[in-house]
This record gives sequence, C-alpha cells and structure tokens, in this order.
Amino acid sequence: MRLIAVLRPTVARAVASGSIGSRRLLNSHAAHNPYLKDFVYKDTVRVKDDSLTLTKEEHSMIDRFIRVNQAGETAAVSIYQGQMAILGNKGDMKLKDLLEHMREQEVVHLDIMDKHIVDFRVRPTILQPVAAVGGYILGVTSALLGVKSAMTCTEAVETRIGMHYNDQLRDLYKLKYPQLDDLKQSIAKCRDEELEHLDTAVDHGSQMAPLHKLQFELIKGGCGVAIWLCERI
Amino acid sequence: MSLRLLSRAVSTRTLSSYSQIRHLQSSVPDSSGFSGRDNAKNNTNLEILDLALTKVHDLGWTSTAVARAATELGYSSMAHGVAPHGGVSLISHFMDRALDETCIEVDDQLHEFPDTTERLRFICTTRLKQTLPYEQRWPEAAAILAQPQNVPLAMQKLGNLSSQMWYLAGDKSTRIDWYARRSALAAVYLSSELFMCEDRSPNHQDTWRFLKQRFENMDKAAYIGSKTVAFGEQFSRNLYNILASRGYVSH
Repeated sequence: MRLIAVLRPTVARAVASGSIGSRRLLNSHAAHNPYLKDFVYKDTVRVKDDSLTLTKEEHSMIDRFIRVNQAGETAAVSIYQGQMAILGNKGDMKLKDLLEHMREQEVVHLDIMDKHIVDFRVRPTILQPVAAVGGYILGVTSALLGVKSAMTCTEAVETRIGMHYNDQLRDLYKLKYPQLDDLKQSIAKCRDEELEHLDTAVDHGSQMAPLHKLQFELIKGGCGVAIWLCERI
Repeated sequence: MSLRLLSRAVSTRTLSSYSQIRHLQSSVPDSSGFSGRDNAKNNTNLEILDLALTKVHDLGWTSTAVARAATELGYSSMAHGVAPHGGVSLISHFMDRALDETCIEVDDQLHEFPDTTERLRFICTTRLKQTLPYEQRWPEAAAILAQPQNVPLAMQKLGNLSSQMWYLAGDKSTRIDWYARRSALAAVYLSSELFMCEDRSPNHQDTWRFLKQRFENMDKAAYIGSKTVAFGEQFSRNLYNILASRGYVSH
C-alpha cells in the first residue's frame, strides 16, 4: 500500500479522501502489474463497476443475452399495453386487473434488464423502437380478435420466451463467477414469472380461441425471428 | 528538425513503460497462467509491433516499418504473421495500445472531475495526447483507414473507442440514446484528431480549445433535443385534451 502511495500520489490522495474505493485502486494498480499480460484491457472487458473481468468471448455471450432480453421485455410491456388499450375499456374489471398485473411484472423485468445493460456494458439493440411498436401492434391486433385470442398471443409469446430464458440459463451456468449469480437469479425469476403468465393465459381459455394452433404457431415463429434479429442487431 | 527530435523523444517515452513491463516479465517466472507457446509468440509480436511504432516517423504506417523492427530485434524481416495486413495492422496495434494506455492513465484521475462532460473531455484529451507523437504521420493513417476495405475495421475501432470513453465517464444510457451518445462522441473525437494534425499553435492550445467547443456544441444539441421532445409531448397532450373536450376521443 505504501509503495502504491509513493508511485501514484493521486491515488493515495483519492483513497485518503474516500472518493474512490480500494477495489478501484487494486484494479488500477493491477494495470501496472508486471505479472499481467502486456495488454491490460485489450482482450478483456471489465464489468459490474470493475468488480469482474470477463474475456471477450464470455462478454459477447452475456452481451447477446441481455440485449435480446431487454428487447423482449420492451416488447412484452407494449403487448400488454396494446391489449389493455382494447380490452381495458370493455368493463371487465377482473380482466383489466389481470392485464395490469402482468404488465407491471413486465415493467419490473424491463427495469432489471436496464440495470444489467448498464452493469454489463451491453449494447442495447437498435431495433428497440421496432420492438416497442411491433409489440403494441401485436397486442392490439390479438385483443381485437377477442379475449381468447389475446390469451393465445400471451401463451405463444411466453412459451417462446420461457424456452429462450432456459437456453440462456443453461449457457450461463457454465460460467462460474460468483458475480454472475444475480444475473442468473434475475433471469430465473423472469422465466418463472413468464411461465406463470403462460399458465394464466391457458386458464383463461387461450386454447379455445378460433384457429388456436395457427395463431399460436404464427406468433411463436414471429417471436423466434425477433429473437434472432435482436441478438444480432 | 528539432520538432522531429522532440516528437521522437516523446514517442520513446510513451513506449518506455511497455518495455519496462516486458523486461520485468521476462525476468520473473510466469505465474499468471498465460504461459505456453501462444503467449510467447504473442509477446514477440507485440515486441516487434511496439518497436515498429518508433519507426513510423521515418517509414510511415507501412510493412517496411514492421520489417525494420523485426530485423533490429534479430528476427527475419519476412515475419509476415506479425502484421498480416501491412500498415493497417500497425495502425490497429497503435489504436489498441493508445486506448489501453488511456484507460490506465485516466483511471486514478477521473474522480477529480465531477461533471460527465468534463470527464469526457479529459479522457478525449488523454487519448489525443497518445496520437500527438505521431501527428505528422497520422493523416496518412487516417487516409489508410478511409480506404473501402479498411472501413469496417476503422468503424469497429472508433466504436470501441467511444464506447470505452463513455464507460469511463460513467454512462448510464440504456435505450436508443446509447447510439446517439456514442456517435456524437465519435464525431467530436475524429474532428478534433484531424484538427490536431493540422494544428501548429504552441502547446496545441488551439486543439484543446477546439475540443472544448465541440463538447459545448454536443451539450447544446442534447439540450435542444430534450427541449424539442418536451415541446412535442406537451403539444400532443394539449391536442389530445382538445380532442377529448370536443368528444372525439373516448376517456
């Protein structure tokens, strides 16, 4: 510690005044550590306020996951908004409360993903406005076809998203960093709540909708395409 | 001539920290887990490229500079794997180095700047000072990077640079403004870099003034943008209320 203070007076001052933490100091010192590779930052990405150093490959995987999750949650919020815009005025208070409850849960998920976007230095997808508008249109259209079709839409979307979250968790569990625990937990939490929505949709007669199979497969396929796009763009 | 000597002195000083690190590294046993032939090969590549950077002033951003460096270190001048794309590889190595060094340098001083724009300006200045030793040759590098086949690499490096700068400055954007911020900063940085290469004022004070003005413009643009959005919101809300009061919209 004394050595560092001699070498880097600004650091010593900063630590004394408490404006930077000792972890930051350690990282900053590590940058000059001769035991490390020549390039300090080139092939690694420091995330979560510098508490975790990932390789480029690990980071690009997490980057893809969080980007598509954020886009998905953006779309989910607007799907429920679109359904509320049509079904909210029908006077069915129970249905309105249900949609409102599901929308609130999605808003919480979106906040979680926004937090991860900042923490893990993820590039948000450029298709985000498209996801929001597309979700709204999907919500309105499905709601116009009736309550049961709206529920079919929910069922299809949540099925696809549940699968997708499970795939992500399977890959994430290969990374053993303890700093990733809260990411895994929040994805697991989101998945559980999405599957809850799926059960709710089935309970409300989603499978009684006209042409249920067709609607279901169409929306599920569309979701798959959207996921594929948002992971990349 | 004196300018040339000065800039060479500066460039050797910038590189001295790397060679120190490397010297220490070769004298201690490798305990970092990076051991093996790959790492040794990688270190040799870096050694050659670092030395090649000191040749840039005479030989430009060319494979000749790399070959000269390889010869001086006792390797074959045909060591093509070091710089597979010739000058572009050297430029890209320089950009990586400069960004890396910028990150290290600003890390312990950023807390002195409370304002994000000030922090960004400080990071930008630090990064520009990395290019300063090569300012006579940098327009050539810019020209090479502007060739069609190199544009993807240039865009990637520029994106990486501005992203890293925003991260260091503490950016929290999560939506489409992520792109707006990064492209604005990239534009500021690029224009300042080109201005710096033409700047002959003492101590490059014109460059620093130019940079400051660009950041002021950036802030102003953001302010105007937010005001436009606020106006639009208020306007549409008023319009909705007028329509609702006439009974055109159901509540």
